[in-house]
Amino acid sequence: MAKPEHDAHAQVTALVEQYSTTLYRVAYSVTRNPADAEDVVQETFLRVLRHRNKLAEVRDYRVWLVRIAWNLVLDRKRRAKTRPETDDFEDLARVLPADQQSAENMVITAQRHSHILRLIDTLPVREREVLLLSAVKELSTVEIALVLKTTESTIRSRLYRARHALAELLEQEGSLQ
Amino acid sequence: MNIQSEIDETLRRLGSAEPPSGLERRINRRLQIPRSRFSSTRIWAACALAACLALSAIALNPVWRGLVFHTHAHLQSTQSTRTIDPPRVAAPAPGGFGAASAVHVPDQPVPVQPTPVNQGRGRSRSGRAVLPNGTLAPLPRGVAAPHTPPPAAPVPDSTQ
Repeated sequence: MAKPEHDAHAQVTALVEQYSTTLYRVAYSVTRNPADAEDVVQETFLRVLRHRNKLAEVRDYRVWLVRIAWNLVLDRKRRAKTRPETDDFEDLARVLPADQQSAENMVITAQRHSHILRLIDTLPVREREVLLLSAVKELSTVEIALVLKTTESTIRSRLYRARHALAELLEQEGSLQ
Repeated sequence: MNIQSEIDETLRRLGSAEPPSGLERRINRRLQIPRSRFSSTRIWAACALAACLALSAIALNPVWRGLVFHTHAHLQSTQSTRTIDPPRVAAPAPGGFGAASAVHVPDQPVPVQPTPVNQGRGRSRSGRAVLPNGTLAPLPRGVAAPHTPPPAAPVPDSTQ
C-alpha cells in the first residue's frame, strides 16, 4: 500500500528535477515576475501530486506539465491583472540574462526589450500566446500545438501573423520617431 | 540591428530566463507537506493520543470512574461469592392453578349493603368532611365555593 505512494512521490520528485526550469520559463514569459513564476511552478507540481494516480496515463510529461502551468499562469494573470515587475527596465536588465556589455548598453537594451514586450502584450490573444510559448526554447512547434490543443499548421500561421504584426508596430514607431 | 533580430533577441532572452537558485529544493520541500499531513503514522499517533486522553479523563473523574469500574467490580464480587441456581419449575398449588386460586370465593352471592352517607364520619358528596355534629367542615383557606345565602325572613306586608 505504501510502496505505490512512495513511487509516485519519487516520480514527482524526478519530474521536478527535470522540468521545473522549463515550467519556470513558461510561467515567466507571462508573469515576467520571478516570484509569481515560481509560485506557478510550485502550484503546478502540487496539482501533479494531487492527481498522481493519473501519472501512468500520461504519454508526454513535458506537454502535460506545460499545459498545467500554462493554464495556471493565464488564470493567475486574469485574476490578478497586476503590472509585471519587469515593466521597469532596470528590473528587466537584472532578471534577464545579458551578454557581456557595458552598464549603459545594458540599460538601453533592457529598455528596448521591455518596450517590445509591452507591444507583444497588445497583440491579439491567440497570436500573443503562440509567440510567448515559442520563446521558450525547450518547446517545439508540435509541443506548442499540443499544449494549445490545435494543429501545428495553425501554430505556424499564428506565429507568422504575430511576428508580422509586431514588426509593423515597431516600424510604425520607428517612422514616427 | 533590424526589427526581426530585435524581436528574436527579446524572445530569446524572455524564454531563457534563469530560475532563482534552489527552485527545485523549495518545490520538493513544499511537496513534502501534503504527504506528511495525512500519513498513516500521524493518524495512528492521533488515535493513540485521543485514547490516552479518554482513559485519563475516565480515571480522573470520580463520577465516570464509578460508572465504569463500580458495576464491573460489583459483578465480579457477586459472582465470586454466590452461585446462580438453575431455573426451577414451581409445581402448581393443590386445589388451584396459581396464586389467584387462593382467593376465597363464597358459595352464595353476597348482598350489597347500602353505604351510609353522612354518618358523621368520612366525606360527604361535596367532598367536604362531615364533623361529628353533622355540619360540614370549614373550607380551607383559599378555596372558593359557591355560597348560598340563607333564605331571607318573610317581610310583613305593610299594605295589609
